[in-house]
Amino acid sequence: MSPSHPAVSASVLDVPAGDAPSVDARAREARLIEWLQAEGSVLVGYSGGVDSAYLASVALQAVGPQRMLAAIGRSASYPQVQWARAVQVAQRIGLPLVEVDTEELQDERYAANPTNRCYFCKQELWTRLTPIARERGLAVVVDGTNADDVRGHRPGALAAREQDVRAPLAELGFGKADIRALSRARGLPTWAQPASPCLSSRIPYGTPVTPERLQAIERAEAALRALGIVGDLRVRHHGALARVELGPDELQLWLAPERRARLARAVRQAGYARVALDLRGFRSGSLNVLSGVADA
Amino acid sequence: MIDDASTPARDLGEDPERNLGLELQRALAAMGMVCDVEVDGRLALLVRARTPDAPDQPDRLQDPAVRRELAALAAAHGFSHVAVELEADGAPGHDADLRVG
Repeated sequence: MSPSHPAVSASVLDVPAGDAPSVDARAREARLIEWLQAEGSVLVGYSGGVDSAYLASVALQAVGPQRMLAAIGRSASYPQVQWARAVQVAQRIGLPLVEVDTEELQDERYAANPTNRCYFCKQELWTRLTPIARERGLAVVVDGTNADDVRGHRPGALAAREQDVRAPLAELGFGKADIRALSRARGLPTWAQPASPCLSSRIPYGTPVTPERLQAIERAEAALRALGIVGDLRVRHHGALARVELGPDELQLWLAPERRARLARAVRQAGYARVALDLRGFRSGSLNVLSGVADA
Repeated sequence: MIDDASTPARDLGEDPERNLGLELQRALAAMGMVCDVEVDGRLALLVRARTPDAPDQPDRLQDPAVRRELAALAAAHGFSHVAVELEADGAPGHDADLRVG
């Protein structure tokens, strides 16, 4: 892994004003602080996403920097730009941070890309992180799974349970909207960040996950961001074809003749021979639907 | 599987996936959208028909109502996803196998 941080624009870290969290959300946050203080010390699995950044921020407040640690698991399936943003956010809010390389791609059960691929990824992640918590005397390991996540196809949650990794946001009933509002109130720059699951989630189940495919996806998404595309964005891998999913406003914009040619050129230059725009736009878990493990 | 959809619509009997694509292709033609349909499982990929002077369809797709109609039509034929191939500099990528890479 390169030690250098890809550029993250200052605007990403800006926190605009917005609505205050609800009374219920505030009450949940108070219960979360109590929960963390009762544990006494904590290791937070940290990706720099909305949920784990919020949880790490609250943990820092609840138990202080001597009794908490944010831990990043790095591999080819974790986008460089997200890693850079995660590090910058950690520095900005003063999180003690450790980075650990994970090797899920070396696990053929993961690389074969079965429908429970996430299980093998999380098994590897928690196998690396829980010993760190033990070595440092941290009482509990937590992740940022929230109450909304529990309803989806989440085989990774089983690996967390097997290694006693707790999910206080889910356990205390935090939904994504709560977390975004509370993050904004805390001044966290992640509050409006689009969800950014690992790059392997762009590859249909059954198609092997390889470093080359992950790199092509990452290059293509970076190229599209460089064109100015904001919000939800996925490059779904279908062999030589990249199927691009955009949010509704961006989809409308990029179907215009001049723009769609630019989009196609950018993705082709990233290594795909063919480029398509999905006409329904971005759908979370889209490949779960395509693979028949979730309803359309 | 992904087909070479330049083949004119015809009954291929034992290949249900391809037949679904051809049925969708015919239904699209009936709504005035002449294109080829390639199939990869539940994905229908619309590509410019390989006929002389075939129109580039994305202009029509700028209309959200057309996109909704098309998605509904695809869903009625069993497709959960429908996408349109984009051409860069007038060059479609027809010849690349979607399963390679």
